[in-house]
Amino acid sequence: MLESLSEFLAPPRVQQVLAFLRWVFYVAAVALVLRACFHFAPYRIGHRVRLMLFPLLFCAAAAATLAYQARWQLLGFTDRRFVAYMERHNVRPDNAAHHLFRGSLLDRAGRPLAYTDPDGSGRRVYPYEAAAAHVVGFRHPSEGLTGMEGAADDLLSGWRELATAQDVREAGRTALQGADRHIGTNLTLTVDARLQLRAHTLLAGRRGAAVALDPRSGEVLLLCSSPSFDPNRYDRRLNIDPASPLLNRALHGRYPSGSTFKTAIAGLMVDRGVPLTLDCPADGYRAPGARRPIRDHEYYAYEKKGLAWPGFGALGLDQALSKSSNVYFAHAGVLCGVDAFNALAERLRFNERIPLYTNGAHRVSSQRGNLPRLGRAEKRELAQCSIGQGRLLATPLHLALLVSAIANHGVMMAPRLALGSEPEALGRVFSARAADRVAAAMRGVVKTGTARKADLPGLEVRGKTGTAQNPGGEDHAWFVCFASRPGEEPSIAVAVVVENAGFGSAAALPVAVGILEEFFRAP
Amino acid sequence: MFVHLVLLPFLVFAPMHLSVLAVRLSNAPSLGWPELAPAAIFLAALLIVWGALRIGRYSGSPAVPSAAMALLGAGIALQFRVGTFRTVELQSPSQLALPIGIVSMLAVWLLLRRRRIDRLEPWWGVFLGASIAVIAGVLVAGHGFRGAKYLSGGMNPVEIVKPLLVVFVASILSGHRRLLRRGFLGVPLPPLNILVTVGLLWAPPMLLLIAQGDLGMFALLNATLLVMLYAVTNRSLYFVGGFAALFAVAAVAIPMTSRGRARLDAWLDPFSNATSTGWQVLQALVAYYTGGVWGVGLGAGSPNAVPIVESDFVWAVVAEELGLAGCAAALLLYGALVFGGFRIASRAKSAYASCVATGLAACLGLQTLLNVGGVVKAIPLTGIPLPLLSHGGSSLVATLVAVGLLLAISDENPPLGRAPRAAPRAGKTGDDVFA
Repeated sequence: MLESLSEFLAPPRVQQVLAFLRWVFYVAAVALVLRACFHFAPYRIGHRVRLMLFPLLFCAAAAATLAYQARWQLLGFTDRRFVAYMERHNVRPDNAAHHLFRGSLLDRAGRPLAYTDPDGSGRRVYPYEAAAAHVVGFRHPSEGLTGMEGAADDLLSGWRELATAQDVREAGRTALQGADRHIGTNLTLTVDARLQLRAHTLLAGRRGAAVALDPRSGEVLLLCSSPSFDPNRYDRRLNIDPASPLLNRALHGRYPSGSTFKTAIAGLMVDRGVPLTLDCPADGYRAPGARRPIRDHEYYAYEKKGLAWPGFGALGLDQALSKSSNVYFAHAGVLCGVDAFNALAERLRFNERIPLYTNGAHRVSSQRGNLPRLGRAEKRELAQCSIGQGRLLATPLHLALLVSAIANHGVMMAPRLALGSEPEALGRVFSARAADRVAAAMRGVVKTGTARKADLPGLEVRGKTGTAQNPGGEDHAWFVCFASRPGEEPSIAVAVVVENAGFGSAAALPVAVGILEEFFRAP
Repeated sequence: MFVHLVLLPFLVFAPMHLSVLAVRLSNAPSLGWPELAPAAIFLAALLIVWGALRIGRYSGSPAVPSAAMALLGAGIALQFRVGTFRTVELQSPSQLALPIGIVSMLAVWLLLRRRRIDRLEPWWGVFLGASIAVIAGVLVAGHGFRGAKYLSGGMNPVEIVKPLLVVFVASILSGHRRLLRRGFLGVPLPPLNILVTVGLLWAPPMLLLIAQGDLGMFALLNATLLVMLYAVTNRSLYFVGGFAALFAVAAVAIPMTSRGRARLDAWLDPFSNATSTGWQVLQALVAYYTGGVWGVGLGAGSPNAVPIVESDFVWAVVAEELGLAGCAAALLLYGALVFGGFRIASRAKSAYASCVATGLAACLGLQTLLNVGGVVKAIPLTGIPLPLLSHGGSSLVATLVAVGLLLAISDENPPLGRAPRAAPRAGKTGDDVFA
């Protein structure tokens, strides 16, 4: 019997039953009130009749409250912020605000990174799934809009075009009620979906990030963070996943930069006119005030085998960068001096949030790095920071900007995510002479030094590896590089970090090489 | 009386319950006794109340018990719909609230009817002491949860101070009503000693409420006091000036606590705090929009998107599933309750009873307005539950005790034919006589 009742109540029928029951409720409530009022016989005039003022006040207040409620319940579409909220945060499967037809997010070649399902459900589709999840962002009722979906929301949903309240009302009405959908604007990003896919594949199974910039214009070609998640199937449990897949490590991961920062000290040396040949003895360099000397990696490698390391002796800049000598750059940093170092830190903007996309109050920007302003007496910390350790922390974006400045003859271009905006310089970090000198030394690193595996045929790759000690366990592996075809200006600068993966040349370098191969592959 | 007390309230309840059952049946063909229990329990409650009033020859207004029973039924149906009315957990204190509330309502009525309520007048100190003891006890023994204090089992007995304080302050106000009415050119100028006395007696429970952080209850009770003061003295300046002072105090005091500021932010600009403080009220607004005029049918919507919807935000269930029309119907029921309450006050034989009824009716009405106003974002949220609809055993018991007091005040005549009268009454006097 229950089965037949249940069948009788199958979906179209249940609506009619519910409507009928609703009416029974309305009628019963009104009947009860009328019947109660029927007994409100005439009042005894003069006998505390003023008390009846209060129920009248109650009725007036209740009516006003109900009218205010109707402002949301019936006229909610007149408020663009309310419609926008519903579009983001309404969990109901038949969300009225999903009639809002958002524009697509496209990559630089016009491939869609996010679009609204044309089947009418208003569902948002992310075809590159986990590969571009962090930069594109996603929409979910409990999270709202994240990434570029959130920052460019008024553009994508089309609200920005609507100037007058009349327009907003009309748009809200068509968005929420009509068959005519409210169409938003498309936004083309600078990222390359091919590079995203490749970097995502190369970083799969590891924690890390990869950033690629066009050093000439600051266009962000790649922002990849691993582990990632599928934005089409967001799950709240991702928030408590110990691997923190929701964290965009490319912009918000802060790491000690390790030896990659030596490129900046090299540029500073050339600019300051410090002698480029320094003695690097086996017992290391002890900064004034430091208790223990900074030694080279080789010293410990020999010590482990029971041998005594003879030391590098006198090193030039090219050799020092190729061999990534800690002694050399610690000494060089102290020679350059605290003031010059602090000025460099300012020019590199390591302590700033770097905005990649700004839209009114909404923006996509990086986390702050940390390059402490050193005091005059902090020679020891200066030596540590000069080899990318100490208190120094940087996001992958900050290091990508550093190498892109070297690639662009010393001028750092502002990174940007929206294609078509004007290139803008963040400022000159090095003189052109210094930048070119460092670039030549970085070519040596690839040719003869720690990054020989990055020497791709037909390309001029310049790079620097990094192995960053960190208190959280195994060293972080870094590789930063930029590349050009012979005789051309560098067209891509890459920074890759792989967490707790040991040597930069072993873990991070292959990822960067894969990205370069994909970038220079004939389309 | 059967129509008032059983038929119509059940007709309000039954479609709501059936609607939830229909939605559940259309999803899966299974129906157990726990799903039918709300109807049985509510019908039993109706029959008990009706039977008791009939046997006790209740001769008062039918509007108050009728509207209260209808709202009680609606509350049971709504709580059943959101899953908090669970008959399988009968041992928990919140499930015992309904029988306790019904029994206390009938007990209060039986003990205090036929003008026996006037005997409470000299005992105001007991009510004041009891309410201070209750608030202080919760303050000391309770633990904080969601910004309020609760005893173990989630009980919040502070609710019961509403009727207690009304009964207490009615003694003071009606006793000194002539002095309080003194004035010059419409400006009330009562003797200073009276003002100080009233202030000193009223202050301890209020200060304790502030210490507990229950600003909603503080505002509610003070507004109730102002209504009673105006009703007793007929000096509108008490009312107008008192509300102005209350607003001023609120404007100064609310931003001083972090919780108050959060609620103020959530009210003024919920969209800027959409995923934090504004989330609950914005989800409620979305639920209203989804409901439209006629609603989606009880059981068919997703009001659980609003966090803790069964408590203060139960209005969102009404709005989404019964629509704006359902909200209007619910407000009509509250209107009948408030009208009935004030009508009882206007007809009470003694000034004291009238004052008590005024306070109780005002308290119920203000509670409704503060709750509904808050959840539709017309005013800041106060954390006050909706009488009889919101989840919460202590609130239910307190409201039913208030209804019992109104019944007792309304039922002041001894039944016809039994009490010896000098002259037979000249026909029925309208509505007040039921036998």
